[in-house]
Amino acid sequence: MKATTTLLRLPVMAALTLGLSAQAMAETPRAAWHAQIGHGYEQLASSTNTFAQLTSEYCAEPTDAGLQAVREQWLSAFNSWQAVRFVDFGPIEQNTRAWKFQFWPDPKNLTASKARYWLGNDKPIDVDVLSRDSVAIQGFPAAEYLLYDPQITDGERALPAERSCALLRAISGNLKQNAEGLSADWGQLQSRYLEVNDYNNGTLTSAMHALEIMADWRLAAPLGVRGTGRPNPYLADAWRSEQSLVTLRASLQGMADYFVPGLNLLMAENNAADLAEQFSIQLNKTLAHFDGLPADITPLLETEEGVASLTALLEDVRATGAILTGPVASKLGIVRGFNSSDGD
Amino acid sequence: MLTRRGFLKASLAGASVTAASACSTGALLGRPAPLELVSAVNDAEGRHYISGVDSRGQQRFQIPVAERCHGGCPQPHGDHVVVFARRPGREMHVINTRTGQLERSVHAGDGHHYYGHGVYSPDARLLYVTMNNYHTSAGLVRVYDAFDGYRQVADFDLQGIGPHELRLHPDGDTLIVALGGIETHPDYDRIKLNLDRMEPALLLLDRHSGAVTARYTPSHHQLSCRHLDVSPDGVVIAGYQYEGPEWETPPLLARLDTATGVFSEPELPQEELAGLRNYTASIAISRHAPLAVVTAPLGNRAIIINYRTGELLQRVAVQDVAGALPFGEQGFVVTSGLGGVYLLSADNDQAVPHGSFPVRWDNHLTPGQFIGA
Repeated sequence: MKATTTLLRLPVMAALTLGLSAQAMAETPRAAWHAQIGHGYEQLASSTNTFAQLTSEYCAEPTDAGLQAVREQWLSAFNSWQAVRFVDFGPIEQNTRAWKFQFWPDPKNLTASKARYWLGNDKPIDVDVLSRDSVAIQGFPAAEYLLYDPQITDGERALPAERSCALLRAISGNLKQNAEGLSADWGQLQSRYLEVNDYNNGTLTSAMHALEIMADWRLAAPLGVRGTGRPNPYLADAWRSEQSLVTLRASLQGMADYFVPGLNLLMAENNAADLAEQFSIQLNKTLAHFDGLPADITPLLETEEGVASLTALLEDVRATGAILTGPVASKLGIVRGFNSSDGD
Repeated sequence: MLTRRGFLKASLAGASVTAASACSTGALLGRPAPLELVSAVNDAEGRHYISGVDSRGQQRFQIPVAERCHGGCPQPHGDHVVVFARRPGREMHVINTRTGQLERSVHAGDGHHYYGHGVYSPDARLLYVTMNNYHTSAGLVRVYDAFDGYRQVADFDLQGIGPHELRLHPDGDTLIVALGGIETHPDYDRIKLNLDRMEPALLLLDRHSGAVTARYTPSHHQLSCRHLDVSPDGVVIAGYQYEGPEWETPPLLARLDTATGVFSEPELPQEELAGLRNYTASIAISRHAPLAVVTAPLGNRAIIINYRTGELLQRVAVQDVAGALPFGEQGFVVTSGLGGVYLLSADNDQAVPHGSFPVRWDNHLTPGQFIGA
């Protein structure tokens, strides 16, 4: 398992760095974060590019195998997004970009009504027009609606119907364009990111925030342990494609790949490599849950055992976040303000 | 009658408490201390309240509310303070400051929500409130009659999106409205729907007719004009929140001299500007000296400027600082989301602790009593 070996190797790497000379420390925490997150953004650009390409090929010459390939590539690209979703600063914050990748949560099912609006008229659809419409029609969930929702797949608008194909081409082309822009702008941020010390805290708090969203919104809400108190599978990330646990795993794996290396260096610089190791061990433990779980949350909500296993996963996601908000934050003197994290 | 002198006395009583503990005259005479400030707060468990603190630093009431609240305003010479819910902002709460009780809650009505700020007319009768019609995204000022159970009496269309804080000009007839320009929807409260085509502004409005009499535009379309205060001599200082890239440092303050109609954006030294992190929370202007305070919770600092010249006078570090009010002759009181209350002055680069409470003070402070402009 690649994930496990990566996770186990990192604390050792940090320990080595600790013992090495100042020259070896040229690899700073922020240099590592910038490089790793940049790698994640490149992955997103490349996988959305493939998604757009496969969509065009399929719509030009539709086959069952072609549709299957488009679906698989949608999931692969969506997972690349999940892997970098923890980053909530820098160019992703500009012009509602994060929402353009994933409009979520969507309690009013705006995604479906926007898609039906576009399918139900004759207006020309292209990337440019779509990019100026609501964020609800621009991202992965809108593509998922066309690829998986029975409202589409069981009716006359099922792919490769002309309007559905045109809409999916525009959505995938727009995703590709946004991912390329994001990746390029992240490169532009490099000198500033490396220069400004505040980005240490910014990067850490974004990871804390992402783990809270995973626990509270991506797990606890569909599980019904917050909000109404009733389980609701429609609150999960990818209920249409039935992949909500796969996408959650991708987010945790993204933190292991793109966040942990910089964290290890930062904690080593602060003589607290043990805390970074504690975080990796807990993250690893959380990731291990998925080996015994299905791809989606919905079937687990139907049995007691299922609910118990989701609850155990939730506890481990919370425990992962608690290492950052507890000992790591206190070691580094990070204060998360009430007003600074949610103003108006 | 609660006048400027009344508040000043209250403020001084507050100041003396810090020095002389509980031995204030009021306590000896058994008179309740005047209410000093009202604010939305959260407790550690994330529950929402409206809290009132008196000039001895004692908490006078803590009223539980369903939604997190934002700003508020005191009724001139009256007993009411109104505090507004925010995001989605479906209710405003009228609190009787004499009894410390919630007197009534007014619902925003179908298709509408509050933005978190309001102001009363000088005769205490009319309450002007910024609102959103979220079906049309039209920003408006709604007028309520406080003498008739807060009955809705008029809606003024602002020809713009996202009105936020508003104040009454010292002429008593003009409303000054910060128009943020950002479209939101209560069903999707965290998302800003129109960042690429914002049209923020600072507006002057005739409070009798609702006519927009002047409109001033920030130098960049993503400078969201949010909070403001006006001096007794009619100088408005407004604070921006920049929605563009975090690595840019556009101006964050606007200054409007309503006597001359000159609108400008005071420049701060680059390093000071960068320290505010493109986000200002509260603006408060002194009633007695040409001073304004600007809080910047992302930058964990407050700055004090001379509002006449726009010159920066002081920078004070306060973690998670947001709420601000004028205090005494020359100073300000500010609150932190970490629970602290502090006094600031232009001649001190340190915040002076003025009490600490087991609450998270929210974005804005409302005077417990009316301060005349």
